[in-house]
Amino acid sequence: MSFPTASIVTSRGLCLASLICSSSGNSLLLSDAFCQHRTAFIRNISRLRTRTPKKVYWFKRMAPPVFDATEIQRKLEETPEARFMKVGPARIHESSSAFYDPLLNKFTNMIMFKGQKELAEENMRLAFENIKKIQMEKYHATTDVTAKMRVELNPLKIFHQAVENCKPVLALTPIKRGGVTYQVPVSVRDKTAEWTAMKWLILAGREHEHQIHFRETIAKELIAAFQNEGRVIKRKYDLHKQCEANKAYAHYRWSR
Amino acid sequence: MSELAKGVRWTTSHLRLLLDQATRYAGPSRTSWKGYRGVSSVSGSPRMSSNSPSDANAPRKLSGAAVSEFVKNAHLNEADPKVKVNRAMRSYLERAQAHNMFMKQQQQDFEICRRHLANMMGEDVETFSQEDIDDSIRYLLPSNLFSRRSRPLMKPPQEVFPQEKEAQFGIDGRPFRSLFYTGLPNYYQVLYDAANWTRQLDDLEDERVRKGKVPPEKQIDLTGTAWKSKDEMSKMLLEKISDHDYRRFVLTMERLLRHPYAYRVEEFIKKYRQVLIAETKDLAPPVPKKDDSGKSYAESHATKKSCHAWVTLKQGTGKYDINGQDLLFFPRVQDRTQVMFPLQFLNKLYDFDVIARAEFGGNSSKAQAIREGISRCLTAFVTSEELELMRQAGLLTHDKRVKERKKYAYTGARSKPQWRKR
Repeated sequence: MSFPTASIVTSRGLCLASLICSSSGNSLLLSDAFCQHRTAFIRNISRLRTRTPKKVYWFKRMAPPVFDATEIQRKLEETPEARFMKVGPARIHESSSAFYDPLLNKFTNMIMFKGQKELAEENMRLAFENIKKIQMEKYHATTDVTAKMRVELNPLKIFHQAVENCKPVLALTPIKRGGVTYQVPVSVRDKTAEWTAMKWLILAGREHEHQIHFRETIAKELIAAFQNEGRVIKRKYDLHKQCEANKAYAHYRWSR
Repeated sequence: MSELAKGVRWTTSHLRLLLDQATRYAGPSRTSWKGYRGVSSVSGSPRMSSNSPSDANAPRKLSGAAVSEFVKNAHLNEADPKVKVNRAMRSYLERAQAHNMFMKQQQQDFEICRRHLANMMGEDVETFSQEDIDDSIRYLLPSNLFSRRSRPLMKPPQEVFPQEKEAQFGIDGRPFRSLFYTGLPNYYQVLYDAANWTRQLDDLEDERVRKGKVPPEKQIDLTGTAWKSKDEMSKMLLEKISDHDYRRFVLTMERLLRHPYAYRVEEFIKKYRQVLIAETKDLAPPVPKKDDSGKSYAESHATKKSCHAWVTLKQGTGKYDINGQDLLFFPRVQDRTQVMFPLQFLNKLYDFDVIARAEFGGNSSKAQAIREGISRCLTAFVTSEELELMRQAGLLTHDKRVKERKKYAYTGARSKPQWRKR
């Protein structure tokens, strides 16, 4: 059973909003004067206000499926209630295969046009092939044994590290105060940072002259980002610099 | 009845007549009427015991208890020919009598129908049970209506017609408890009890803290149980509670449950919990059969969108036969992965042969339908723990989503043609 946590409504909040949650759950709109008198009473009768749950797709109400047997066993040991909860269906792209990678799937979906997923998958496969080629060349070009060991040859690892390196910590959001719009630095959630990093990588990959394929440029961008170099990393640092310059506006996030 | 409606003087003899009729059909009452009066004393000075305060306030049905009490009072007022009866009480008695008469009539009808049905089906009248009734109704009046509640049924009247509450007030029309004015006395009694217990446990905790004692590491074992659902609570309390009310009930109970001394009110908490059944219990694995060569196999049928798949899973060496071809029937790697998913997940890729026929729909639908079919067949050959693993991996849940139909005047299911107001 999962229900939204209750928010305690203060008497001040009630007076300001003139909104009273009656015992039967109906909201009554009362005048401020009346509110003043009734505040104490209301505080006693209804401290808890509940929020109605959002309407969601049916499978989002269920527990998400897990594809690793050991992880499932750990989950069952930690939360015995899991045995009594419904589990959503495994989606078409999900499986216990060693080749299934949620982040890569997300990236593939982001480079996709008009639902042509097969084409997007093919592009990613060829991009990984290019990465492999470039890294193999690098590997064979180096003569020093220790330097040779340091060359990363796994394209999937390069991809993950590249996205991780491109994640911004802060972002700018326009907030209007006194008729002027300020670019206010705010902290970014992990999911949003991940999305931004992937978007920047894709945009950098698409910025190329004709005759050069996306799969070649994205390969170069991923390798550059993996080494903390390149346009995307510069873009991240630029954003951080901008945030640093605008830090005087940071208080606009919460103040007027 | 008709006389009363006309406003004839209310006399003892009238009452007797009415009460006789009302009591005759009423079942035995659960608690005495005096239980209500006990409420004030219990809630006023609650004791710290496992008996919860609401024991005396179990919801009451429309029954003979109130009426029999009234008979007693009427007897005491024998000397006074004109008994002062409140209008509310009078209408309640009339309602009770009407309800009992109605239920009696329904019961008689049901009994006649049951016997008639048994005769029609050529069964023994005396041993014709409710299950037999359901079977014969399904046979005689077959229905494909989507909603199961819309299909014809024949149930005892007690199940069909809702139970009603007993009178909440006395002959003088005064309610027994103040919660009567909330409209949902039984529901608010539960909330009141929960809050009361929380407060008492808080006091206890304060006392223990003052003495420098730490609460013991005791916890109520609630695994496999959940709060009673809204419908169950409504049925239990004989009151219709809203979603909001129910959420408030859950919040209040959760707060009580989080208390370090909650184990002291275990009995009270468990009264509002229901036992859950493990999800894998509902699954009905297909029964494995043996073919001519002695290999066991299982069959199943699964769907996805408009695709239908008929799958046979046979003990073998990991061969695939999909519409007469092998795994390369699917040009996309994703679809091949989907077909192999259940067997790969349980490391049984080389233990079974798959023979599948998939029709209609696209390749993705076919792959998913076959995957579901294989999973379902596989349930016949796995242990209960492996079954749970499969369920947790989302292999045993049917993906019921289908394409939403196109609407007329729209370009799709929801999207509208571009339009500008002149």
